[in-house]
Amino acid sequence: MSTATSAVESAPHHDEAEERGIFAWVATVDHKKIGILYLFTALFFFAVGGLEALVIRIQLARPNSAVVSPEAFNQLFTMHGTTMIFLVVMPTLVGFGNYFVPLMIGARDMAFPRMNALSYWLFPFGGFLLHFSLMAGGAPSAGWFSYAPLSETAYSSSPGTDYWILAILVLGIGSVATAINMIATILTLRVSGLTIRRLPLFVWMTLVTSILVILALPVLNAAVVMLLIDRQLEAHFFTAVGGGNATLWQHFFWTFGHPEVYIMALPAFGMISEIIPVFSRKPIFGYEFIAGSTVAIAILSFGVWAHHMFAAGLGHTADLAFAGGSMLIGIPTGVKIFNWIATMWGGQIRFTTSMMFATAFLLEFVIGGLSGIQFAAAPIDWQVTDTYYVVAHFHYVLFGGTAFALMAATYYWFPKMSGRMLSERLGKAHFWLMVIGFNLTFFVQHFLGLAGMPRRVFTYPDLPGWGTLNLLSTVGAFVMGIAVLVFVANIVISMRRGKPAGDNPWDAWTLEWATTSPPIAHNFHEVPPVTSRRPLWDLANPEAKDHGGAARAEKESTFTKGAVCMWSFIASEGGFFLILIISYVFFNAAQSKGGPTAATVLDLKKTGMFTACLLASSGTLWVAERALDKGNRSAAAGWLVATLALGGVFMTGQSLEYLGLFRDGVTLTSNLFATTFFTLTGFHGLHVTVGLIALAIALALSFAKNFETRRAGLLRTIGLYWHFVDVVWIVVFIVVYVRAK
Amino acid sequence: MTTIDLLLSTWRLDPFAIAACAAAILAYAIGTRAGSRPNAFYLVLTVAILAIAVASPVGTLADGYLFSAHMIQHLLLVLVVPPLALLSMRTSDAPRGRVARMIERPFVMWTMGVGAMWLWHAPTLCNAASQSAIVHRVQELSLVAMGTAFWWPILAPRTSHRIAPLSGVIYLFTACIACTVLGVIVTFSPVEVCSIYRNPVDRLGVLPLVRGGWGLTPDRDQQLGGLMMWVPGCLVYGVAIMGVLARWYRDGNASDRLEGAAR
Amino acid sequence: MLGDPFDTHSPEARAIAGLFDQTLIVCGAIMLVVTGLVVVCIVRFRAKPGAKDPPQSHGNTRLEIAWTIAPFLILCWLFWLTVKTVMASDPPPDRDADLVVIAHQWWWEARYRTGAVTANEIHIPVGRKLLVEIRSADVIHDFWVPQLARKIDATPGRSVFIWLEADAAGTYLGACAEYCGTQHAWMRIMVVAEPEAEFVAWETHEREPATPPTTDAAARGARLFAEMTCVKCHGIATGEPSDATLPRVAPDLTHIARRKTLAAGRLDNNHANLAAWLKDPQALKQGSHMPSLQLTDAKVDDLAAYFESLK
Repeated sequence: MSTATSAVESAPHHDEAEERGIFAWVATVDHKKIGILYLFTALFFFAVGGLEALVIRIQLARPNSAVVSPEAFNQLFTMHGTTMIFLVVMPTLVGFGNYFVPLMIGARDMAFPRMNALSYWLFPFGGFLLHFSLMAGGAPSAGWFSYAPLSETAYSSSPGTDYWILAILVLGIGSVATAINMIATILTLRVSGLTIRRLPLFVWMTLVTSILVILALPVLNAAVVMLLIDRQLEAHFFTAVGGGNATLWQHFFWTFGHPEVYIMALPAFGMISEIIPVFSRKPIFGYEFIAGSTVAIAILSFGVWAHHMFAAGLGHTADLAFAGGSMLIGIPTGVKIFNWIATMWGGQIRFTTSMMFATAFLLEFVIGGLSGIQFAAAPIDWQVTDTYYVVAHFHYVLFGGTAFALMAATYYWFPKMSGRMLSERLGKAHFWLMVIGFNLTFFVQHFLGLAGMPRRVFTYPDLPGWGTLNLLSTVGAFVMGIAVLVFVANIVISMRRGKPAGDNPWDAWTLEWATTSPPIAHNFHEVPPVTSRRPLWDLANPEAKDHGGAARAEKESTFTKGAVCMWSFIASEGGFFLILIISYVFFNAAQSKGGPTAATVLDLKKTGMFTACLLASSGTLWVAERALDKGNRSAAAGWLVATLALGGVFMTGQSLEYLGLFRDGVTLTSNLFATTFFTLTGFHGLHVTVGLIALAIALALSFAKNFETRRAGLLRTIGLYWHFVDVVWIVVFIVVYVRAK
Repeated sequence: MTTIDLLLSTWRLDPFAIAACAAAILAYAIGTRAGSRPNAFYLVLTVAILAIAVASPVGTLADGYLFSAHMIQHLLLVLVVPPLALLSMRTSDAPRGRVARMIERPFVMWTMGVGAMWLWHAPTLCNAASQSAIVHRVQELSLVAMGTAFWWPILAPRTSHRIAPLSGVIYLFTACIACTVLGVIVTFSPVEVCSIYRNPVDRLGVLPLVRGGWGLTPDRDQQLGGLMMWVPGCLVYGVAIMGVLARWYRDGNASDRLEGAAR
Repeated sequence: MLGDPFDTHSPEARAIAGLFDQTLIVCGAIMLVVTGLVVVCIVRFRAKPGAKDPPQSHGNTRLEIAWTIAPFLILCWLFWLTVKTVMASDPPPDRDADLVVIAHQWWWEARYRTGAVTANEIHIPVGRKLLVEIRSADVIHDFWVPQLARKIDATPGRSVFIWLEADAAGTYLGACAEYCGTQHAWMRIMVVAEPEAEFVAWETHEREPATPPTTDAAARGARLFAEMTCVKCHGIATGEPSDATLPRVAPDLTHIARRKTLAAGRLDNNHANLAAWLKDPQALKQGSHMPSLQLTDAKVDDLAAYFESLK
């Protein structure tokens, strides 16, 4: 067995000099600083979303009360949901991932530090856009899933929903960029010896989550773009009036929305899978099964979205198919629960605050999971969905589950990030207040749901029991509020006066504990050798080392950062175009009544010629890459020029086609054929344009010295993108042009 | 006619099923001779499933009556029979030949498998297959062939022909997505995939039972067919992904034990 | 054993309540097992001071298979129950709808096949199933009367069907269950189940045109109603052929005095509330599409007198 040499030593050391002051944080590309920025920004938004929740609870404390106006209430719950999901839970998970994934795999930083900084700054920018709506005529008030047509201009005329859309787009792009970065980091920057089969489970789950993100977020992006086109350009994707379909929005939203649930849950599972073993003093039980069940959950999560739409009346066949699929998710989730318990079983459990939160997570998550099984049984959903029963259910999953895991992780990792321990005394107060407050708030909501109280009502009639239960729930919310204050106080006090932590206060086993607390700028002086899943255990117990879990070197070291990045990006873009293509097919499958159609206004032959040009450009680019590989720089440049020219011809062709259509009076708003056609081909054209710009930059760079050695990878990466754009066009051409004839 | 009557009376002596039986016996005999006896369990299962697909009431109803029955047949032939057949073969570590390296591009194999799904559900081809017996035979044969091609990089009897486990996961997952998209379109789209199933020629007099007794109106039939392709179809891919992961982790542990012994 | 979570009064709703009880027992049992195991861990495996690390076990494949198969079997059984309940609680429609319910922002229009038109208050005969077609006039709403039937979304551009049936006379409360905008909270439904004879009498009466005003105040109110913008949105049937083109933007008022509530469950239907509502609807139901007409008290009294005469 080779002793692993650390990857960091060969890494170049740049700007070791610590920058100080605010600029050090604003301009940072260090994954640790960015992680902390994420966490504090998310904490800020958590306070905002939490205060919104408290106002909601005050308004609902008594029947027929009027603390806030109906419209204000609707804005409050819309903002609360959007904030908690997009500005609190996701960024917190990303923040921990940012800080700890590179440390846990023995890397010096993320694969693309500058892109990482960009992703971070998109997050506060998105939050700013969302809240800017308050100054521009009112916050969005269509609920966090913005069901059309309520979210359309006819029913939500204030610009709040437009800001919501823009914020979602910005945050979505940031999330995808982060996910691509994570995938590239985990696949290419692991210290030698840390094979994929030895990844800490938090890293593994972050990897799976990132894959979910790059596949699910583009669906949302495509959907909100369509909604924006509806709102701003008066199209009719989702309004029945112009032939659109309101149910389609629900399909798109939940195709994103259900994987999103696991995007928010899986990294939390990962944290629990790190914390429970350390405090039980045993390795995780059934590593392979926890890792495998994560993949099962990820796959199933894409096939069960319509269980959010049981009430929509899709028909029994569809309802039952989705009911069955949704129930199946219970199996891999159950496997995880049992493995966590088996990890605790027979251990020497130290009940620190972190472990207490992890234990509470277990029980609360099971409650949420079990009511989830009830919701999978479609008829039960027909009764209790859209009531307080479902509110209780998803708060048990997302607060009792994910948020508790996040608090466990905070107590676990805070010493590493700050060098100081969080106070255990304040921590226990925080824990008990939180457990009591949380369960009081949300457990009674189950009964409210059964009693028939719909969700999202700003008030309710004084029916027997409703007032009392609501009041209890409100009291619980305030107890939670106090718990959060204790938590924040603990963080603030401990940052200054906490007990010094030392490198490895919990006696843990993963690589992040093998460096100083907080870690030095380049993370490690030396990464210990990795021969199993618990390198620090092996170091401490040389006589009882763990088995390696795949000792043979894996072949995947051939990945390059650029290729992983581009393939992930392509997967994500593929998801985006898939939704646009499906919309086109959906609205053009039946013969449209009147107005232009593909058969009447499109010219197959002309477009066929431009298509040939675009395809030929893929060929010329391929030749250019080959030439560059052989070191023939001038030939490469020549072929690049040809590629650019062919791409230009295509874009000219498309522009002429558009002009012709406009002349004939076919515009985006003519009918749904025109809307879907311009949306699909327009976005494709945009991608071609971006590709052309990238190619032009590559061409300009090719005149620089050493191009072939330094930039061959760049050209190959751009080439991948260009070929992808061509493939998309082939599909578009077949679906739009060929099929119509 | 009741459901029981239908289930009992519509079995038919299908030449494919007979050929498959013969081939299986032959394979077993030859394999035994050559010292690599196939796994009898998987072999019997392969033949049984093939028989269910073509010779049972499923096959009869797929023949112009029900789109959903057609879909069951389709899925069995592409997603169940080929992997079972491959599993029945003895594995070996022999290296890949030159020819194999040339034709076994995962991308090509993937396209074959996904093509088997998409191609035969183009309305023209789907209708042709239900109208002409010859086209129908070609369809059945091609489905098994394309299915085998698809599963080859995952389950090839020579392990050297298989692709790396994580690539296998991506290979299967993307196929699942492609299959899902088609399933979604078939389930929710207003167009008919196979118009032939709307007004079947009632050769056997079972139509009243199918339409009335089972409540399978043409619309619901197509919806059910789409959901079959989508939900159980994807489950097969999902199970395969779990299988690939299980094999991957098992190999890791096995190589550990070897190392441990060597130490 | 667990009682009836929804206090159901129809076979369809009872089927769902039964499934709910069964899943609750199963889930409760699983919860007990998990809690028990965790409690044992907390009590028995709490770290003892100075104890060494426990034996390092990495897993057990047989256990893993067991806790994969066991949930699978439970879920198979649950799925089977689900299939049965779907069939029992939501039988497919087999005839034309007896009653069309159209959801509006924020009230319910109900039109019986027999021609009766009403709003927010649906009458059904005890023991006879009515097939209800649900539509929407604007955004997505959801028709939900938990004691009687499943909920179902009212989606614009699409009709869905449910069965409405009650096995005992009574008033059953429901609400819009899909968030539909500002006044989602006050979009409540009342289903009144009454014996067949009473139902028939009610329906027959609802089909009749409005009673002409008999008092002076009511007559003045009727004139006001016709002269002001009320008629743009509200209909009052007169028995003339023009009834066919009555507006359906807001609740039909032909028999408003017989209804129990005003403004979709917001207020009890009495003189004081009626007057208050006419005076300033926006104060009572902010954002509602009923505008404040700045009426004088005298006009309010006349209009209220007229509406109270519309038995």
